[in-house]
Amino acid sequence: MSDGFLIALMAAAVRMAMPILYAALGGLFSERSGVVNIGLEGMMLVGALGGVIGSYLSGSAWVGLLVAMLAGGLLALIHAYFSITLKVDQVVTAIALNILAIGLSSFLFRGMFGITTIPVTVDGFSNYPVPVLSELPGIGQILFNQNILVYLGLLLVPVSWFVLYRTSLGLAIRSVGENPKAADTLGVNVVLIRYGCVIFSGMMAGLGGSFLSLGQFNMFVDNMVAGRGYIAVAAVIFGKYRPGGILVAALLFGVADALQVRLQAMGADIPYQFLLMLPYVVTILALTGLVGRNSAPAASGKAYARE
Amino acid sequence: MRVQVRGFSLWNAPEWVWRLLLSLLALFMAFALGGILLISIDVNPREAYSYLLLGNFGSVYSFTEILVKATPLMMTGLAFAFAYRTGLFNIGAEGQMYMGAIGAALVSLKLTGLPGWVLIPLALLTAMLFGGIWGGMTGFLKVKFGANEIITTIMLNYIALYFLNYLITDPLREASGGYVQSDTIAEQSFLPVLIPDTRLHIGFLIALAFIVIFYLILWKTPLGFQLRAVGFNRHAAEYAGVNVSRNLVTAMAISGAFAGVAGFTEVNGLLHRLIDNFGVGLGFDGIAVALLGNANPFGIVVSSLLFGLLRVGANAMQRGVGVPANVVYIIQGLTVLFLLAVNVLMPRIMRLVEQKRTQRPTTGERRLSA
Repeated sequence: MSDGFLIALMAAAVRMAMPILYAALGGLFSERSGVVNIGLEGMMLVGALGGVIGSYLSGSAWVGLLVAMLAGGLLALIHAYFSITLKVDQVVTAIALNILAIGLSSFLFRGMFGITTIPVTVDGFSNYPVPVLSELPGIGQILFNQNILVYLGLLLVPVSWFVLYRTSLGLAIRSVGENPKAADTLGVNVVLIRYGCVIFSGMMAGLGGSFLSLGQFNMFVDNMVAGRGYIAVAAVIFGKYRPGGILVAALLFGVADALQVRLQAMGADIPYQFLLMLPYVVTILALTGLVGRNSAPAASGKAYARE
Repeated sequence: MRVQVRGFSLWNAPEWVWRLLLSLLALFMAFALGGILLISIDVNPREAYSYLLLGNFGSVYSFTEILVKATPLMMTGLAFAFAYRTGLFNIGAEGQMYMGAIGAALVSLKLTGLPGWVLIPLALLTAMLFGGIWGGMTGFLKVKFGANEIITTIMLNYIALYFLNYLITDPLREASGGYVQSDTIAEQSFLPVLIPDTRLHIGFLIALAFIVIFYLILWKTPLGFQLRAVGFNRHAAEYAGVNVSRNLVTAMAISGAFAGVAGFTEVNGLLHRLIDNFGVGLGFDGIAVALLGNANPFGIVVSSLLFGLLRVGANAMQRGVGVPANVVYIIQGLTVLFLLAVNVLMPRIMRLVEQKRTQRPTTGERRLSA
């Protein structure tokens, strides 16, 4: 393999990791506050559509981004209401939302643009090479000749870490996820924190979805998220519920994805499907604790009721 | 005290009648909200819904299509419901179905020398075995390592999907090498068609038989009693001497075997070969089917028929009024959401019913239910 191939591969891997990274960082906050969010898939999907609609109507991809966050956040609000207020099972709620999102996104898309065979393309985010840094050999192409959403995503990793581990808000979030009763006793508003985290996770998933529609394809296609939301859920677990770990997990999925695209294109006689399976296998191994300790928040998935 | 009410009164109806009414209410609300959405894009909901609900009663063929679509949904619905009754979430029916399809296809492709009456049952059993192993693996990982079954089943869905894709790209690729699919399976392994000139095959009856099997296992065997005890209260069951770990693995294996049958009916009854990604969404739809059917075998029959109807009706609606067929997913998702909300209200409603029944509400209770 030549250097050029490797650099192009890694640059593509970083790009492909981004939708997963965004959604997984959002999912991290939701999980850390004790709410399982399998609904990331649906929230990404409405985000992907929201991005296209916003960009189409305003002509600005930035407005698209805002609409995407709003759409993801709204779906997350429903998830929060059902799982926190009504205390309904979080998994079942999320699955219903994912089914709803498939229908809703397709419906709204057709409602706006009619049934058309010509894809509606919109303004997206094009590459913005960082001055000086993008000139660096190798790494410059991989990390610094990307679109602005890539930089933002990478930046959010340390920011998430800082918020979770160095602020009182982060402490409150983590305590609510580990022991809501104790947190409540200490005056932390469990319901408010959980609502906030779930809605934030939806906004981030919406961003991740709009990365697909505005940062990669510049259009919306039915069900275009295609399981990336579930991968994001896996990335949170595989990343051991830490921002840095999640980045590594998202990149692993990105590399596997980018590599298989290239292997297929080259017609290489390698069963690339096993490569695609790898991240899922590793996630299962992470779950079993065979690769390090299982580190899920103690109150994950449990609704909180004051006695 | 004299019994006050003579003849039929709703207040005397058993709990399941109330559940049924509330399920219908959830469905109605989903349709109503869907109707509002249709109005918002200038589509007459009455017209659209008449296509959706009645569009497939025009001909024998279109009616049988409902049953064709309901068949795999019934099986994936049973798969979810079985695990659910044991207190487990099997989100992996889709992967288990793919494994079942692989098992059925392997038998039906390779053992071409066997007569149909041997080959078909063998394909069914292999599908159940493959699906059962795939499901049982999740159970094993849960009891042995504490791995959350929700995530493992989702991961195993993808692994199964890629495995299927690998098989038909390379080792099982059709001899001509044209498409990414397998050869046609042996003709004698095709499931017999029930009504000539339709696609309705005996897989539908097989699925109905599994409805009965589901009921018999859970309510008429000691194993089923134990499984339900584990589902009801895992710790109490353990205290009563039930081997919870073994029961969890068994439940997931049986659940996976049910889903495997869906793979068998699709391959041997409908597709007659392995195709990539053939059952996309069937796993999640099965969850909706099971929830709407209250994880009850009879309920699953009704709800899978309803979802089958919606699925084919959606195409009629798309042709008729130009509404994208995916709209049924809105109705499906909303139904489950409303159902969940209604279930939250259920205990309160039953308390109210209880009061009406006794006709002697104490003030304290009345305040509670208000």
